[in-house]
Amino acid sequence: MIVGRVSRWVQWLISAAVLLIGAAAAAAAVFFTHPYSALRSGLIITIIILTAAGVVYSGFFRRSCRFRLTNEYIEFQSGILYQITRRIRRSSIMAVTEVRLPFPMPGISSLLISAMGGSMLLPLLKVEDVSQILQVLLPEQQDEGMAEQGNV
Amino acid sequence: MRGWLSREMFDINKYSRQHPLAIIDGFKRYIALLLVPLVRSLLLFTGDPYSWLRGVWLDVLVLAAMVLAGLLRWMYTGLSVKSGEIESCCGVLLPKRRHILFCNVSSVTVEHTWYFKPVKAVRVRIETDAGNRRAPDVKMLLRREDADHLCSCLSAQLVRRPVMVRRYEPRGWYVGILSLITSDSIGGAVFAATLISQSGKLLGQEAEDRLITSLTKLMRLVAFWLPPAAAVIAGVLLGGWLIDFVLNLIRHLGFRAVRRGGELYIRCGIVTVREYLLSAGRVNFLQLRQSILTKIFGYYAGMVSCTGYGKGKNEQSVLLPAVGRDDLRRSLSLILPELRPAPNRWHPPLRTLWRIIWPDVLLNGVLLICWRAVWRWLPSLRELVLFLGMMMVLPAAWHLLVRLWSFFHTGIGRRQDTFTFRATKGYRLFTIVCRADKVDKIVITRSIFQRQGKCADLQIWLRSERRTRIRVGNLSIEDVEAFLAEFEEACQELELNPHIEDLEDLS
Repeated sequence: MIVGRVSRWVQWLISAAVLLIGAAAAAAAVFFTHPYSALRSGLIITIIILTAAGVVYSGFFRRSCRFRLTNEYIEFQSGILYQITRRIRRSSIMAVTEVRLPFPMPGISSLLISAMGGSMLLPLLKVEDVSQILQVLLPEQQDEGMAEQGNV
Repeated sequence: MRGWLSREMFDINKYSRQHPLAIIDGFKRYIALLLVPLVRSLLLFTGDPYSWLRGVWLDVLVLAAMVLAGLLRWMYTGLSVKSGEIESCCGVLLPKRRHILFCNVSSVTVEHTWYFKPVKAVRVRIETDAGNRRAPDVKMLLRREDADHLCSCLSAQLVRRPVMVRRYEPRGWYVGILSLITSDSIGGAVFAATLISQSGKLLGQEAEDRLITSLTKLMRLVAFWLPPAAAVIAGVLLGGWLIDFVLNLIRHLGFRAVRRGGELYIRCGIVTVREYLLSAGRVNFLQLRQSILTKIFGYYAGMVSCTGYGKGKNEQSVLLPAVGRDDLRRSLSLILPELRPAPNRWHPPLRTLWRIIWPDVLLNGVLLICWRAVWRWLPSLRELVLFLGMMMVLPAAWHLLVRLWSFFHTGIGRRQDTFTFRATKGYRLFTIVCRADKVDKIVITRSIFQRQGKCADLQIWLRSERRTRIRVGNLSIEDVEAFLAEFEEACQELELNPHIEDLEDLS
């Protein structure tokens, strides 16, 4: 059985998004409210608290995103307040696609598992985990000579 | 440190690139719209390149951008065929690498388009049971030798030991019958409309107007005693049907099917040749189609459902273009012996006959009464009324005949672990043969009248890309229960004894 979690990039991305939204909200609060007013202070404090909560939540969320690969199935679980678990039988898997993101993320890759009932995305995994999963799901290259001959 | 463009992910030398024509293949439908104005402006070139460029700089820029994008896409797309799996990579900004095991491949399609034949380029589509319903899993424009190598590797996986080759080639006029059955006016009319409008875009509005005027004059010549509006409608329908018939004929001439072990090879077409390599174990079901006319003459058109086969534009999943009753048994035992139709064991009882035909009887009665009434009250429009009345009553009467015939046709049969479902839809009679494990869902419905009559409808959902459903109506409750018991037994047998792919293992 292989178990693992998504990489820290998930946490960093969510945190970055939360911080960006918080900064934009704070700037709007400063721009549209009267200086030294109670409303401005209240809004800014609220935004700071929510942003901090969002950053902390991203850490917990990242820890909740995990995958499990057994002899029978592959499973991906995510979410804290609303948890979703997807499980695909290995016998139903038809194709596995490795996807890289458009901006540089060292050592990170995503897997899209295509099965007869639908697809499942395992996002932002470490490349080592991806290689391990592919080794289990795909057949071994027993004969290097045949593999060379098979290449077009 | 592994970067985004790491050698491991993007070592394109591991892969075989597409044919160089793939650079422009992605935007070929727009290239004519750009090139033709450019060429026209070149013909009107006065000798001053600067002023010429001032007029066409945007076209040139757009064309250059398209070619550059195509080149980048070509550089980062490739295919690698290893023992046991196919690996494809594509994408510039979003690099993707897809792994497909040979045992999961449902079909490989190789299309030899006529304008690519001189440069030995073929379109290849690889399909599995997963993925997008509308698009193939892998689609590339490859060199012919690369495609041949891919097909031979897949064949080696499907035909694991020497087996006898069984070949089926229908007679030429059977393909004509298939085109007769499957052609429709709408397809041909859409084709003609697209041709006329695209010609207008390329050659100018004047050319389009001239074409339409010529067609209108032709319509007037052909229409003898018909009212003009009716002549136009009839012309469009007949013309559309004729175009579709000719296109279907060209598409399916030269049809042949070859069975070797677990591999089913199909080839058709004379201008654009299409070759399909199907995994026989992944065939979902066999569908035999008939209309009343072909039923009278004893002909069937056989289609097969396998992911990827018949998925392309204007393609049909033909296995037997047209075959008589005796030839059907022989042909199926040659190329698809696992799926042979069985006679009906469960069919609607006689007491349900009126339930099946009363809506059509009522409709025909109402139409005849209305026709008679309008004929009497509007004597000045008798010609039009006669025409319209015929147009409405004939299809309705035909449908009544179909429904009457469906009573004798509908039912369910069983042969070992395969079931045969017979039903009608519209004006067609269907026979579907499938293994028990290819049935996804069975739904039993009963209306309040069916409760009283102690019968029910069975809706069977079959596994396929398009979620096929067949409705076997008005079976008695005892027959439904007997069928469900035997169905469960067949499923249990299949779990214990998995499907055997090799032809020689079949008893």
